[in-house]
Amino acid sequence: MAEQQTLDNGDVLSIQRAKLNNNALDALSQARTTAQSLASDLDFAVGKGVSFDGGDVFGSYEEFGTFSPTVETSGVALDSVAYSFQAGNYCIIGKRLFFDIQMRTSAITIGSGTGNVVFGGFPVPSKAAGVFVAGAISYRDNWTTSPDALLISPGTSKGAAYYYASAGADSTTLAIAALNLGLGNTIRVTGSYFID
Amino acid sequence: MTKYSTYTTPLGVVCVKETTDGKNHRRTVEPGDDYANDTAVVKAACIKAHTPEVISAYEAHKAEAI
Repeated sequence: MAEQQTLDNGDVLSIQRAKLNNNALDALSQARTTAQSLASDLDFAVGKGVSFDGGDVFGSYEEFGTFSPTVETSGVALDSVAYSFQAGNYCIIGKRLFFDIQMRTSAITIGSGTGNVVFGGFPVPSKAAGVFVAGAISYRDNWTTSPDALLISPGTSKGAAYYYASAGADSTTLAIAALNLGLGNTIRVTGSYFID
Repeated sequence: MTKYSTYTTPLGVVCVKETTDGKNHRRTVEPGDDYANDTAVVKAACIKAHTPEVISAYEAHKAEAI
């Protein structure tokens, strides 16, 4: 609706007022927000994140970083393990964690260590109510007996090493006797698993 | 300066994210691990999470899972 006002000189000023309902104001507010850039990060509390159309919340959508993979045992710990290199990279997208490992030992003292070879130090435990996730160890070097696969255990940040005794054989756990105490045991692995 | 943030999984594993100059590094402290020399933030999380019952249950879980 137009309003009219008569000015001192006799001219008539016509004013068209626009009325915005709440929905329009919200839309305008959102449009203004999307047209602006934030000058700082949005920091959500643990367990909070972004949800699209009421779907699952992305609590950690695309985070990347590093971790330090380790050689451990399923039983009594090794006396000491030193590394030539010990590098891990990860990327978390939603509830999926992708990782790369590049690791080489330089000296191992078994001491009172017992059990089988386990790789530890993963950045986040796998989903507690999840499944065992197997990944291929596509590169290995200098082992007395080389690991062929890695089985990440639900709810833990560890994965047991497995090997194939012969072509077509079932996977078998790898006793710590497989470790080469002198030359560096090397693995390079790429894999992924679900997290809580 | 490093910023530490932690959360605890249903099985009691304390997940630690260390952010230094915008770069993330993650690690975990499992029930039964020694955290005596860790930072105050991590120690506090572990003291709260790693009760004897949780440690015992996690050891049993590992015995089955690993």
